[in-house]
Amino acid sequence: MRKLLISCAFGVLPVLGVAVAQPAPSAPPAAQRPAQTEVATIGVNGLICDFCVQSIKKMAGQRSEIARTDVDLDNGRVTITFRPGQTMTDAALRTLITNAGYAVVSIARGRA
Amino acid sequence: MRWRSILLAAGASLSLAPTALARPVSYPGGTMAMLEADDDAAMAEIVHTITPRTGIGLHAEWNEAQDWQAQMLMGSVLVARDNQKQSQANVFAMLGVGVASADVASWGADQAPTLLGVLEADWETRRLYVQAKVRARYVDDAVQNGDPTGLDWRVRAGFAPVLAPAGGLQPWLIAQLDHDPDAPDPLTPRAVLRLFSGPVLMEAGLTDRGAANAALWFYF
Repeated sequence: MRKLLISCAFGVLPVLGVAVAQPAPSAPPAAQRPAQTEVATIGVNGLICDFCVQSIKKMAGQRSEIARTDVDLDNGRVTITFRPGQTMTDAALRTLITNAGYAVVSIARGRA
Repeated sequence: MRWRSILLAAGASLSLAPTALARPVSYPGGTMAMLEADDDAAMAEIVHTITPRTGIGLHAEWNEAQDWQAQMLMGSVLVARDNQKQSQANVFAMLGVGVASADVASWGADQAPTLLGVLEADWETRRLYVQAKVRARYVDDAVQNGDPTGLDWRVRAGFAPVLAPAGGLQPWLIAQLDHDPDAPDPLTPRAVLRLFSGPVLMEAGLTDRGAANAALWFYF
């Protein structure tokens, strides 16, 4: 009897485990899910004119990870939209903005 | 005739102090081309930024008033930059080394070395702009009649009456004062209208004696 109970327990546990680990029926497997688009909003000091906009857009345009760059002169903000599934580290973003001639004061990340 | 003489004198006073040099270092891979002219002198310059703090380029100048021309290789360095939330301040140094020739119209037989050193500082917000610049030049007297060495300075203060959106046409009103100790009238005040949009910047100016100048920059 004791052996029978143990056998049942071992038989049921894998079934429960599989049930728990399985994704919800509506969610496709990770490999089939579309990659998410990340956005970095960077607070930048020194943005004062159209040349600043040009500089940052040209520098950002050299990076394959970046799909779009918006520069907000009024608020001293650069918004970088990455290509789906791609990103850059804070250090790399900081280098990009610094090399364009400006100073990074903050970096916030979100999803498009 | 008198009008022409006045223009010549005003032009000569500016001949060692071309009306503007745009920022000589932009971003790595960026290039700035500039053309500038007044009644008696013209200047062309192209500078390519190599690193965030250095650029290299070519500088050419044609001085009709003193009948010489010069072509030189020019190096530019961003010495210091201060970025604040609503402003940027810069200090640039430039050094040009080349050859001057004693004929403004053609590359003549009389040639001699020439040097140009520039120290420039500016501070700018979206509304205000101030700039000071000192230029030291050596043009050997084998190719021109004046003093081979020259030291001139310029100060500018500008105001943007309206703020254009990014990519829009941004106007600036600039008051400029040039000082050239070798000129008949060393101090030359000038009013300058600057317009820029995207990668193009244009300036047109007029001195108190009615001499005009124009300049064009293009960044790519």
